Amino acid sequence: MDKLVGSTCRLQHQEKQRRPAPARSLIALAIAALGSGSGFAMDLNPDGEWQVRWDNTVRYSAGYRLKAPASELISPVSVKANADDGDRSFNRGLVSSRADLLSEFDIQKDGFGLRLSGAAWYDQVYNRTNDHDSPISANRVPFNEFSPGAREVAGRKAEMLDWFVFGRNEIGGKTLSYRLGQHSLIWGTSLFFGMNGLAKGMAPIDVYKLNIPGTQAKETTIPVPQLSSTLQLTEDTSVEGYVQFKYRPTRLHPAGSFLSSTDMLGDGAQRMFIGNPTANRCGSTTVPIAQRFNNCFLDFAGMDEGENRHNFGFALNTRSELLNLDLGLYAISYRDTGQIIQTNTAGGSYKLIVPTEPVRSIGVSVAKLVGDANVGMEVSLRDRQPLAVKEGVVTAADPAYVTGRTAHLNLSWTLLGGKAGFWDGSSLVGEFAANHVMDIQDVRTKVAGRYPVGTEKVNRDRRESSSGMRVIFTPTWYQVAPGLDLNAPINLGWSFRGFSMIDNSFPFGGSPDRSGELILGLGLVYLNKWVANISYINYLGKPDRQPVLDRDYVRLSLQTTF
Amino acid sequence: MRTLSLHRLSGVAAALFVAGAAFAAPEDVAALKSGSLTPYGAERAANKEGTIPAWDGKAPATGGAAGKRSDPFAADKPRLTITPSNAGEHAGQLSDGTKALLAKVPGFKLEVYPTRRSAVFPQAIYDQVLKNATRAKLVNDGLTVEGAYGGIPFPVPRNGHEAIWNHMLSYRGQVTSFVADKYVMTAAGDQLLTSRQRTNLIYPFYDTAGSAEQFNGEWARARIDINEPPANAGQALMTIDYVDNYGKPKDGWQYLPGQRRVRKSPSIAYDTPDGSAAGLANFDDVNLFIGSQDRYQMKLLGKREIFVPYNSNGLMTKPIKEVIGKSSLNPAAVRWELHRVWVVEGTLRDGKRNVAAKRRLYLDEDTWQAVLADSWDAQGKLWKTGQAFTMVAGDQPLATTLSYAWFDLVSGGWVFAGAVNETGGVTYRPFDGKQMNNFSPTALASGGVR
Repeated sequence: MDKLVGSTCRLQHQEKQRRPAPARSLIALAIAALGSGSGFAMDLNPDGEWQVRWDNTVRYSAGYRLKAPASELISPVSVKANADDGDRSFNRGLVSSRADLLSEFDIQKDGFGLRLSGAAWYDQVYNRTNDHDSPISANRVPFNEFSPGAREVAGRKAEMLDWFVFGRNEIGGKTLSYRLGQHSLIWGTSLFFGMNGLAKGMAPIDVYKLNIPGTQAKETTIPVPQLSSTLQLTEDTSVEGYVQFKYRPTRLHPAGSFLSSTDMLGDGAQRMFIGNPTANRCGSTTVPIAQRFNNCFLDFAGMDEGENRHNFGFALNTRSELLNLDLGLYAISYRDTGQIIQTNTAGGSYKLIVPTEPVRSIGVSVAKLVGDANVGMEVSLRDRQPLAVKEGVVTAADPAYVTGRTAHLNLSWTLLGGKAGFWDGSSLVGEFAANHVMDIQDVRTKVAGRYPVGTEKVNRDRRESSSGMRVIFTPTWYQVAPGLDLNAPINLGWSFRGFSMIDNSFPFGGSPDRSGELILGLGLVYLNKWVANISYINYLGKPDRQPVLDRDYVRLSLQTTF
Repeated sequence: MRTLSLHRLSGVAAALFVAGAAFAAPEDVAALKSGSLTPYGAERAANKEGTIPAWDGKAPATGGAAGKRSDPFAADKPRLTITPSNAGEHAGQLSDGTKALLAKVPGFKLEVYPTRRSAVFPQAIYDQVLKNATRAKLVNDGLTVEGAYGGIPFPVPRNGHEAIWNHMLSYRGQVTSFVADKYVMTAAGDQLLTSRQRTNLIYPFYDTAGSAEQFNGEWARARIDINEPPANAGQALMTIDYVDNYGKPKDGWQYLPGQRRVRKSPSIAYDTPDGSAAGLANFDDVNLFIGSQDRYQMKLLGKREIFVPYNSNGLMTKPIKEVIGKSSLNPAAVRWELHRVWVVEGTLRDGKRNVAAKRRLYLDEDTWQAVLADSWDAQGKLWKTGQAFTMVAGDQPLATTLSYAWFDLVSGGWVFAGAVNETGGVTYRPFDGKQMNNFSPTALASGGVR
């Protein structure tokens, strides 16, 4: 009972959406700077009644691509034009050289308080020209620079994460606690595949930061302005609820960034090609009529959030003495954090629309010790889950999209081991996730165009069932040299069945099929303060089933918190 | 081994394996009642030589601000110093681990002070101990305690499992709070503060409003909030311990910053290394031994008089720089005394594994808590030795180990845990059922702001 089990949870998330880049202030950093100039760590009031903490994490990380783009993944240009920028932007060589700062400030007394946190970063690689060599297929101009939006999100930005107040009251022997402001909240037992569970409807994910080595969950879960509350009925039973005041989309790999596999999505998206890539804008009267609606490009016209509806949810958590397990029941309503591409070929533009009808989801989770392992299972059902639509059938004139009823399963485990083999300790963490479309609420096109009237909108090329897993085994060696601990994680992600109709980033970005990734890492912890990591990321599969197959790279990071 | 002839030891050999219901013999109960044993089951009388005094049942005054209890025996002078040169003369009163430290660690010595039997507990606990003598029993081969409540269950233990249950269930307060540091000293002599955590403990087993009949088997809940290192600040952990190690392993939950979510923990027990102790201590090394006895057959070897760290209020109130020496605790800061201890030896059960193939625990007769421990590796080599330091809280009254140290005799590294020197003292409050709400998975989530 002496030490928290360290397990950094990473959630993969949906990859079919973008977000505008709201200008965020540096309030957290400014407030933090007022606190103390000493730059020294940071229980600011250790013996006083007020608990005040200010902690800063600084990190340098770099990535190096091992292979030049493979021709089968970037050509022919007519097929790959909307999916080649991330690949072409980088030859063999540096793909990131980045500094990160995470600053956290808390103040509290007797359960009431305030928390502020913010992040800032700068990546040299995204602030200069890149290696793109195909002006015709670049979904941006100029072709060999990152677009301003991509440069901001990948290259230089500062933003607030948390800002909220919290409190706690005793009401008739029950404890009511609450938080108001921008914060994160996740229910259920999902570990790596949060987008397949309740987590998806509760907190958007910063997918880009997931691939920055050393990043913690508190940096990758995007906080949302909300009111959340817990009423604790007994020591083992509680009810919870929340309502969110603002829609926040998932943050994808910015368009054209190293691991992006869709050029017209993500921060910095500018264009989407229809047919063969050209320099002609769709609908332009200055080009031959044969090229006005095909073999042209659409300009990105922003995201349309539509009518604002609040996300909300309720949960009941309890513990069964009899079955010796934790049980959770959940009901949530949310607007999908992914968006749907709506094309306007005649107008020469496309935009991203947030599904108007909320997804309704119910779920149940159980957590139990099985042997020495914690095993968690989460099962959820969704109604009105947006499904994959065929390209071009959601238009301004006919904005209807396809939804369905879907079922989702997440099964995860964590096991810690002692001295065995030739290591001093180990952990084995994994999750299997699967989903299935039970019922499609089919919609057909009403407007003639590239598809005849009455054509169903659902993309039947995609699969109704998908599944994948991730397993990480981490052996640890203590005190290999004075003050130095060593670990060597082996991380395998595998998609048994991809090309998902539910989520085109399930189980991983690009929804690879019978493909995956193997990450071999080496971590060093020096004096319990300096953390260094070097990893080799090897993508597995076939070119037609794994969109990032040729992007093997090595990454390293060095960080400390003070 | 020099074994004192305590009147019930003849029964020990016969009861090495626990054969279900067998309550304390009538003469034991009589001894508790008449006073030849203390109400806690210790031998009341002085030893023959007079180097261990009789127990007088008076709690010393330990005044001090904000839970920092002062050393009531600060005026005492050492009566003996044991160094490598005279260790041989005292070999019969030294544990194997202490001998090894004397032989191995330069400058290590024992400053031995007059023995002060300062462990005194509330009368309500003595009353329950007397009742436990005739109602508590072990089942499931020593893994489950039945019928005990509100005090150590086996004032006159007849086997090693009973003695270890006394250690586990010994009185450490009803609701206990403190902030404690963990220091790791590398073989190269670096001193690292690897962890600072706020620990809150609540003991439903010691709810004075409860009873043996109503007790549901959940004897303790612990909540640990991590403050240091800053990279881990905001993490939190909660556990529940049961008196049934057979049917109910310890439960645990952890709070994940950023998601504001609580997940059930995997088993964080046995010989899983504690990363914050740099592998020098495992999860079952807390308080020299904690947790389930299912890996070990515990054998009661009897009682001995040995030198142990004791009455360590002085150690806990000094600045840490005066306490931590180069290769061990600063000998000038550690008070050793001669005490009677129960010696329990754990050997691995058939088919079970633990990195410590054999353990020997030395349980102070007056508190039942382990004050020294030795661990042997699979090759039979003495590998680690532990020391636990007893704090006296005359205001409660109680005496309990708090800080503890583990020395790796092979690598030379060592860890000093549960250090309150720089963090304030220990707060004790009476049990309050409403407090239980703070010791729940939900409270972890709603209390965590990171």
